[in-house]
Amino acid sequence: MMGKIWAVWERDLLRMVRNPMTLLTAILLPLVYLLILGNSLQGPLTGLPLGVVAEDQGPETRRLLGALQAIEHGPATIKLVRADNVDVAMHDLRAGALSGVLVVPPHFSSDLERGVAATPGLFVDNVDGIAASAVEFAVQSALSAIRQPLARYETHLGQAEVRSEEIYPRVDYDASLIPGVVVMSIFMATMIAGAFNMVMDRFLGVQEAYLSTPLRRLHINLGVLLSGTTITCATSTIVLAIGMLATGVRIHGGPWAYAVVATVVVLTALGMLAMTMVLLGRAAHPRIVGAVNGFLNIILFFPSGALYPVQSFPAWLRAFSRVNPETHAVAALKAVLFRGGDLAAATGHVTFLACFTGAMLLLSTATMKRML
Amino acid sequence: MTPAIEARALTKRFGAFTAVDAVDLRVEEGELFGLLGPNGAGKTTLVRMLTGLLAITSGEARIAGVDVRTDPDGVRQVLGVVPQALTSDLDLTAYENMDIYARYFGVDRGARRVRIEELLTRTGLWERRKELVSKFSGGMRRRLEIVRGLIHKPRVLFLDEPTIGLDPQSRLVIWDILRDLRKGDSLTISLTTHYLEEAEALCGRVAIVDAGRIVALGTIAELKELVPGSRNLEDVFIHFAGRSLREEGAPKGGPPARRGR
Repeated sequence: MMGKIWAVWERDLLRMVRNPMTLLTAILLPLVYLLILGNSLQGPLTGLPLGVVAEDQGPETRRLLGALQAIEHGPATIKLVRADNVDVAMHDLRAGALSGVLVVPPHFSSDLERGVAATPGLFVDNVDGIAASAVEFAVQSALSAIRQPLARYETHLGQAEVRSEEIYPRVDYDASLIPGVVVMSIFMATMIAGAFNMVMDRFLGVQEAYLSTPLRRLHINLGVLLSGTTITCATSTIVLAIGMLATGVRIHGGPWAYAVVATVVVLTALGMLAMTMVLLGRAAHPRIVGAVNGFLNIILFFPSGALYPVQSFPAWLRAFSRVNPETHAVAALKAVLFRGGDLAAATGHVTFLACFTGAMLLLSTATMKRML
Repeated sequence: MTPAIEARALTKRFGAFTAVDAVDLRVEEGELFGLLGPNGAGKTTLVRMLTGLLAITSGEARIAGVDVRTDPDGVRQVLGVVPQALTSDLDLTAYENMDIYARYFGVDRGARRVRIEELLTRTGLWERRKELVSKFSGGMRRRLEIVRGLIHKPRVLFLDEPTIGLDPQSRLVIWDILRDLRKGDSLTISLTTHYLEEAEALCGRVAIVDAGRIVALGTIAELKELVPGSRNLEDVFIHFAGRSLREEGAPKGGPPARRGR
């Protein structure tokens, strides 16, 4: 029994190991993802070029420009670009060289001093809504600042203040991506193993040879799934190790924490491989596997909580997220990596993964086609 | 004596299309039996039913006395199959290909080593056993696959067009291997081929299959006698199967078309 399973395992494994470029892709892609996402979406927006056309040179305009410069040198949301006239600034805005143009009208200071409403014009490039909102917020902040008295101690008297405390060590954005990147690496490896190998065998006619042997469905299914799990665990462990080295994240909680990480990786790999076997094991062409896996990657990864908190999803997406194995894998890894090795927080997710994997193993064996 | 291959009213339907129509067949132990027929005649479907690769619609089939329908695992243990497509793994060595297949049949480690050496030596591949199959020529791969089908000492070996696409030299080598296989043991070989000279050179008896039925069966000499004036098997084949082209390939819902690689 086991001898036949190991024979299938060895054949499948050797074929994958002897194609190192494919394996390298499964490792590099999630790491590049970490590198790009970690650096492109990290923290608040900065350096958005804001053109300023000052048609008024009065004191209030100088204060407004000072407030904008404070933002430029502080949170650095904007980078001020002085423009001589509106036409030139608008040309640059339309060309994409500026994110916004602020026009301070000729009587801005005198109008303010007289208590008359003074309205500077702000033009924003709303093609990028997030950048436009950030520019708008920065200008609003500067305008609010010039309306505030210089000494504001009296306005704070009697007010309640909130002092926030983080209960776990600080998690940078790029570090927070590690669980998602590990889960993505598991999925990437499932794309080159398991069902893909089965379908490729069928496509090339190779399957006819081993289906003529006394191998049973269980031998073939378990052998292929275990070889896929071996490869998947190896590649995702490399991705996890590199991710931890790059971001300084450590596994706290001793050997049990390591055991939980290993369990999560093995269960997720085996469960995902078995799931793709159920969905794609009978496909006739490897292109179908590629297309469906690309689709699965999107619908499983984005609602997993790897990038955005699940709680902010609409109700229907939250419901899907609850039965998404990647959600539980990400949550379990976050519990171990970022909650100081809080194993209790991972227990529910590991239990879900175990049930999911068990169900998929049974289904994949039952639905596997033993004949041509 | 128990026949090596026995089929009674064996039938395969794909929807309304009947690919194999109530075929009766009996091949005795030790025969080298030829299955001939035009493309789409039903030869491969017949063999796939006999080897347990396709479900039988109706009728009976036994290999070495083992019922294909009720004991498919038992049948697979006594037969070897060499499909038409090249099925050896390119990323494995010749030895690994043999070894892994032997393990599929539960051959123990000690017996495996002896058997692999014997078979690879017999086909001149022992010296190249450590090379990846991707470096082999088509003829070498085919030789490897034929002996891989023998790794567990089957009683019946099914070969589906084993010399297709090979040069004349490689074909002659395969013929020698097949002749050699018949010496010394009681191996029964079923050979499906399009090459009539191959059947004439190797087979004791042949069956001509057309439109899912066996339209002629006997030794080459017997078949020639049935067709007065025939000079060779080709004349006999044309007489029974006709000259017109057949629809090729399996119908929708049928077995997948095979691809080389």
